[in-house]
Amino acid sequence: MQNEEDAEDVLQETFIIMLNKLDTFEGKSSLYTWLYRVATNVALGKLRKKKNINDSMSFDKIEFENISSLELADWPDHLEEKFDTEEFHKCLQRAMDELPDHYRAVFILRDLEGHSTRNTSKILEISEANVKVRLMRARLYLRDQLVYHLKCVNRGDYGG
Amino acid sequence: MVDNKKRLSEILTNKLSEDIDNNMVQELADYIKKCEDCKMDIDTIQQTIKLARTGDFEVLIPQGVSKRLFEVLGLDQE
Repeated sequence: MQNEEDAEDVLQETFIIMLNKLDTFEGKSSLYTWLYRVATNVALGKLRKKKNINDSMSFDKIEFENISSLELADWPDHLEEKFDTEEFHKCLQRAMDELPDHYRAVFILRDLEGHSTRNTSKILEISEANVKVRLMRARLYLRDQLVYHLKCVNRGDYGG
Repeated sequence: MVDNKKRLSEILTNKLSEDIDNNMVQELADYIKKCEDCKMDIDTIQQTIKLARTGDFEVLIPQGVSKRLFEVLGLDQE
């Protein structure tokens, strides 16, 4: 853990789990090993939760101005030709995987499955304005990842 | 007339969501005539959507969304 407060939380949570689950301890390993494993799982869970919150927060800051027109100049006239390359395909797949759940859900429903804004808002139980904002950020994120990828290709970062 | 970035962003968002009314279409057309960057934004985002739609991708629908989708559409989930 990167700070004392988080470490204390992990310690406390580990002891609570120990008290509640001690009867499930089968004695196949030492108590120390069992406790160490519990503490590791608690710590990893906490780190994962923190990372998800941070990822989601960084998505909330995505705006049109994040990419400059200069960077967009790398965009090719015939994108489909570039898209035939495995690297390019992987880049878009990775970008879609990276979308936090609440952005990916909107993107799938609106852009991949073609549901209306109204229907999407009903399905996800969020306002239509929220659907639009999330959709725009998801699209911008995917577009921006392709721009960064194209920049690397043009610079020859992939050695090909 | 579009007079600030926030308003432009709102119009572009609506345009790309196909939730745009006739007044906005005109406002956007007027603005794009003078704004090459906006045209580039629209073109590149539309191409990205097209690639995502036509490419062979595995996109996992988040947990719970399928269930809600079936409920809203009034269908039974097998």
